[in-house]
Amino acid sequence: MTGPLLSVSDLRVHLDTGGPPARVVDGISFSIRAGETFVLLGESGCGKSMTALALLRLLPPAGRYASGSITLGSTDLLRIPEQAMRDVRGRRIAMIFQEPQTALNPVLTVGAQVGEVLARHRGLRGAAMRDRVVELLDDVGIADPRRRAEEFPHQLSGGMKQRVMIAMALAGGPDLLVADEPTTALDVTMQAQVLQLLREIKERTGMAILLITHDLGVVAEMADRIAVMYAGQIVEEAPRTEFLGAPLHPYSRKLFESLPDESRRGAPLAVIEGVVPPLNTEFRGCRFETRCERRWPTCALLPPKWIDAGAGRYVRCHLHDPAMRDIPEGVARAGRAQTAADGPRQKSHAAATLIVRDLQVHFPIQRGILRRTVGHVYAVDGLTLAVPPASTLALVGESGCGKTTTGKAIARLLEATGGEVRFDGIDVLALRGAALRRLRREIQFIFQDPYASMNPRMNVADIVAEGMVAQGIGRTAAERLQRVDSLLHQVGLDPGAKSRYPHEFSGGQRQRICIARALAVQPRLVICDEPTSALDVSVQAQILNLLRTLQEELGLSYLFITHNLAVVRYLAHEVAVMYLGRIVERGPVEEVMARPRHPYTRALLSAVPQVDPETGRERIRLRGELPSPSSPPSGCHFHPRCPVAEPRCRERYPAAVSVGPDHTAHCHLLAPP
Amino acid sequence: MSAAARLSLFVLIGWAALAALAPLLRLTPDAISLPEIMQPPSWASWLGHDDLGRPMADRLICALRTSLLVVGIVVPLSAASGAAVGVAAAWRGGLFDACIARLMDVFLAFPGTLLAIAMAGLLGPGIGNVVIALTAVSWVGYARMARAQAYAVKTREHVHAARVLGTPAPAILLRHVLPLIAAPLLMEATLGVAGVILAEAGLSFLGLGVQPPSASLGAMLRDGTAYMLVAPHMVIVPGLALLALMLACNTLGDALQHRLDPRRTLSLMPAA
Amino acid sequence: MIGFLLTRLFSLAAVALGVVSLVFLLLHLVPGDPVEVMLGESATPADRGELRRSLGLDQPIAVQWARYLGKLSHGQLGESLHSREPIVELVTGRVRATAQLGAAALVVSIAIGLPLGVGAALRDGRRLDRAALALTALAMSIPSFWLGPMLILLFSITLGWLPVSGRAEAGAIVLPALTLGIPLAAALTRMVRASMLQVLSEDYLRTARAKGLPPARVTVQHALRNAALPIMTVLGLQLGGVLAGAIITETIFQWPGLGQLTIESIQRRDYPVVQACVLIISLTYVVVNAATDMLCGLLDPRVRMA
Repeated sequence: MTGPLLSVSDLRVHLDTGGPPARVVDGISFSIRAGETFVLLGESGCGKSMTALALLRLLPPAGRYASGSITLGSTDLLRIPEQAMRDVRGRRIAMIFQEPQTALNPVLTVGAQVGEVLARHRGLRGAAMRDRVVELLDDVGIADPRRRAEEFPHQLSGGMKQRVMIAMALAGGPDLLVADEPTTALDVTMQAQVLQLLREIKERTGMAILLITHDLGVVAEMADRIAVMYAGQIVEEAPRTEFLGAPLHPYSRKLFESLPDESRRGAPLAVIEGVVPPLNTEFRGCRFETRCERRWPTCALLPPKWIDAGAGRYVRCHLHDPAMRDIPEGVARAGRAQTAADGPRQKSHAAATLIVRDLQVHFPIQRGILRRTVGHVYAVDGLTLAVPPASTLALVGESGCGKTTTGKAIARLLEATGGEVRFDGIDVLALRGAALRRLRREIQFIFQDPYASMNPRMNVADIVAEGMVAQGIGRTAAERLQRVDSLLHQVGLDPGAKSRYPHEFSGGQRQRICIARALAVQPRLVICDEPTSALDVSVQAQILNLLRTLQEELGLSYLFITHNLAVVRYLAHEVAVMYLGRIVERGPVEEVMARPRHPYTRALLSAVPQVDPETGRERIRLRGELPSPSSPPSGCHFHPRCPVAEPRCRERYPAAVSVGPDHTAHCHLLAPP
Repeated sequence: MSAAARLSLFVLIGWAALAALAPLLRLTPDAISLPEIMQPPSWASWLGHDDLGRPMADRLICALRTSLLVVGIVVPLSAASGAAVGVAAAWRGGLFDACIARLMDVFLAFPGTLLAIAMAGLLGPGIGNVVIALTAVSWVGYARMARAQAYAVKTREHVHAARVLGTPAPAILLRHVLPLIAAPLLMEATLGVAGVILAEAGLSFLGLGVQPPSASLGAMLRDGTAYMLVAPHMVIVPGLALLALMLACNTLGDALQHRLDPRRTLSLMPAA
Repeated sequence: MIGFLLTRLFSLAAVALGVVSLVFLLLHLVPGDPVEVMLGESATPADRGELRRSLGLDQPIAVQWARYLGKLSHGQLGESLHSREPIVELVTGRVRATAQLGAAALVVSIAIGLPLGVGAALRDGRRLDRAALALTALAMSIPSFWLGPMLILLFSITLGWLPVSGRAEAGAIVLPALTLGIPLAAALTRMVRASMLQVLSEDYLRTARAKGLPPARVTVQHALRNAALPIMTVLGLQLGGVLAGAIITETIFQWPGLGQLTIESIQRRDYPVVQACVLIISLTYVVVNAATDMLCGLLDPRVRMA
């Protein structure tokens, strides 16, 4: 056995941003063996993507190598001239990126972009090149590759574009594939397909993969070995089984504990206090020290060593340093209680119920000179659901299924084209003017992107008080300001924050401000549209905890729109699964998650990468992708992708079938014959 | 703020101050003096005299006053009316917006200052007609920008959030839309100042603007061109003054644009 | 794609109709009685009546408008009040002269702007880039009616290399083309730089570099190909600067083009000729812009395939 395929030693990358340089990669070392999948795991801003770019010498203009070596085979990539490096890129190390949407050149055909690599590294020209392109596209599972090769990127779906990226990466026959968050921008069913493809290619070609991800599920699916990155350093390295079994570093542990999951229902999720320290500061001790619950005085003073913990495991933590065995167990710091128990109790509301019947939101498609309506996008097409009082209904589906449109139509941000929405018996869709404004008090909305949903020119006090002003809550400015204080306190922010502006806060804090703004008008129903999908896992846990406590304290009802099934398991009481504008299955969350009946729900659940290392789980792979909502398939919308479809599925839409207590699904196969 | 931008601001403030204080300076821009015809600059008269022996320095200050007067009316008037039309179109949408968009297309179809030249030419000379012609031409630039900006802001989530909270439409416009489009409009207006100074000078150069004996940079350049061979200072002096004003406005506009550049704005935000 | 072209043609027609109507209305801007202004005080009432009738000013405005459109559709622009010639004949030679000058100015603008803009973008923030920014700021701030005389002062009078004005002598086109072209070159440099910088920051450029492609291929095949579309649109819009700038430039250099004719006619109060010149200039601009727009659409697969 020869040495490793790639070894990185003491790599340091600095970003010059004016002032002291940001040490985005700060002395990392690892090696990758031929044919293995090595995962770099970390949250955003930890330096994992910069490490990937550094391997290929593709640092942004502000970046520079401060020290270290990157050895591929026997060449040090940092010592060879740029021209020689160009023979390494694409030929020996290939890379795929997070955003397939923007990583392909929009004005060149897919075939030309793959062919370019063959011409550069394989010397192929003309017909031989075209044939090889078709072969490669076929290899990555693109149907009708000869035709697809002539198409432009915008004609392909996101999943297909990522396949093209993979084909492009394979074209040079590389020894190592660097995949930077390759599935983060994709829906869960597409993600499963792409991960499967990567595994197959690895088997077939024996190529090594450096996979960069923040998703523990992806780690469990793919990794042979894992390195965890935090603030520019690798804090732990371990083989797969050991890592998934019991991670050593307190940060790794926290990452696992903060995952929302069924088993943690009703209990608060672990959170990591504080934020990642700025990388342009001088560190003396451990970088994680300020956020660590198991820190002790030494941690702030001495940087932890890279400790061999046996069985191929390494960790950068004083707790595992044999020279420092005498750590008193009791120094563990208790996490701060997430809820402000002494916060002002709001008047308890009477229970509210939202009932949505046969809701339709159709958008006209206008074409041509006269803007004629040539068709409709059936974004929401006959949707029925109910949110029980003081509980959470999760509306689940992939992007493009119409779940956000549903939320906006209920909140009257979009006009519904048909159906009925009743809140407390009030016909919501019929309200106009002042009556509609009064209803705004009852139904609030929390948006996906907390930054975009705040006016950057308003300070926090004005943002939170905006609803009170509009609804005439609080007689004087002073009274409102007092309420702003207590609301900020309630969502876990320092009331001193109220004179600051949105850009001064982190993502999680911004979402807290948005929650305070919604609570200010004392709503009974809050529609949450993917409120945590823009946040890191540890911050997501904080927001989910907050939402759960607020529900207990104030008796709120949530319509929780999400694509994240783990969040559903943790937070929701009931779940409704949406596919192409309609609900295909709904019921109590335990029931649906444990015994999914609709084939789509089953596929969706099985596509989610599981952290649990248990294998042998039955996997259902969906063919194709979500059809266009402007021309939904006949009969059951799901039949073209359904693994168990029958002829009758093509003919008419299945009626609701009761499959358990409060559990219904729309599927012909469940109906009694 | 860069040194160049500070200097530009200084030039513009100096221009405004000089032009505003002109009446207090006891200038004699129209004093014809035959012995001093086309006298080059000297210690006694540091910008020299023109073809009628009038002092160039006095005429230059009066010309700057003319520019300021035209800019002071045209820019606020066209920016306010253009912004109002643009925001209204974006907010109302529908047929109203479609009509406004078509109207803007028609105005934008005239290249540069052609329409202003034609209007000024047909209306006849005079400072009032210059103002009318330039306002009729410049509003559309502001309208186009305000409309595009308002459309972008209108779909931002904080506007949705304000609607969900029940904030009435006028308050949303005032608090959520206008503050966000003010900065780009200000930038447009800074560049608009340069455009109006240039257009007024151009019209006067063509003989369509301010009429003799009133002074204008364009008219001074027109006279200067005629005597370029014998008295180059007559074309160099007003030209340099005009160049300085243009350069100051453009530099300031660039600096503002640089500030508004989203890539720069992002890097100014603290890391989350 | 046919739908795209039809939509563009329809909007071209709508804008052209709007332009024609606005130009038609221009005549009504003339304060007081246009006939009186045109003929002066010495004219007899009979002369006035005749002119009024021949211009159709005795009819209601809607009828006048319809007549104007009708005449235009037959290619008639009326006749000059000054020389009594048909305007069509009057402008033919003028159009050629302006086209020649405009083409030369565009050549100047592209020859300077394209390489300088690309170079500045590739050297973002470094010396060449900063020099380009400073130079373009200066060039965009110089009024053409000052640049022209300064060029004459230097090249014609002091150095004696080039003729002062007119169109007859060899090399006469050089100074007007520079006067018109230099500010446009500056504007083009900035636009090329901006669109190149935009494209250079795109993810697909990183992909191209990650493939191991040499820099020349990355720049030409991936960057310039994408930047070409916005640059083409800008070139179309530049024509507006050329045409409006031509009015002043032609006046300075006595270049016998449409612009000079416009100013002469304004001075002579020959309003039908002014109207015709404005119409020809703006319709050229509208048509050329619509054409670049459609061409860009055809070259952009995202539009072509839609």
